[in-house]
Amino acid sequence: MNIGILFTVNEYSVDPASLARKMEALGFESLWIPEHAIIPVHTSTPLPESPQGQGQIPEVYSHICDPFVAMSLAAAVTTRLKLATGVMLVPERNPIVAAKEIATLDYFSGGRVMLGIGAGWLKEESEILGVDFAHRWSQTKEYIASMRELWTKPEPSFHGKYVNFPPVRMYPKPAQVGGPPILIGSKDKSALRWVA
Amino acid sequence: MLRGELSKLRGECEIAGRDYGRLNITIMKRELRGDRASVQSGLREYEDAGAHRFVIMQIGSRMTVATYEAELECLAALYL
Repeated sequence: MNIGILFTVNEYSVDPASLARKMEALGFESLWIPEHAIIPVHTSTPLPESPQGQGQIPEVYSHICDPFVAMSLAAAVTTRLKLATGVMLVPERNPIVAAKEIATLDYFSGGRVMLGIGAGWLKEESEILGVDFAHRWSQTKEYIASMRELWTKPEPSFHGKYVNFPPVRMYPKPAQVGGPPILIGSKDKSALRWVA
Repeated sequence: MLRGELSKLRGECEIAGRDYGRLNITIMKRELRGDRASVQSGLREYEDAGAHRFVIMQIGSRMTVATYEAELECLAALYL
């Protein structure tokens, strides 16, 4: 059984490089970094982890650092530790820019990236970042499909509801053929169907 | 519960024509409680049910520059 640690790296915690170096030395398999670009001051969305969905959003959620920057810092000081998002909120990022960042990190880390993905649960956060919240999983699936095109084809193009681009070139490609493995994180009743 | 969910997932894979054997099943959970024997027993149960990876969720943990090495060593002693 591989053992990883998910940690909310923030400005008050240990830095991701020191954390990753020690984790690798001890034999942990992977470091997972969650994502919340922002936490709106006023929200009415229930917290999914709380027993009745009524809990307050922990203060640390508004301090979580950018996962890809943290993973890059971790990659720079390790050679075996896998680097993962836990989870990346896919529709909150421009898919072309995200595909480039992920491919670059995977290439220079020697294929150590894993993408835990989600569509986001905090409606107010999603809407500030331009997500079509009611259809966020459809948007997520299309974003991932467009990213796969960018990762695998010499001159990819994509035409969908949310993503459209003519033939382009984008390098480096990820070190892992086809792109990093994608792990879906969701409590939605349809999640198993999406995985399949 | 995991066995049941994975059984459902296997069914969904059959419907979708997806090779279930290629999926990587990851469990994310706050911590398994108890001493090393209890934790290892919990991990074995997940593994027997079909999980490949266990991720210890340290949300809001106060791992600081002063404490992280000792905290990671404690986790390693329990989980690895």
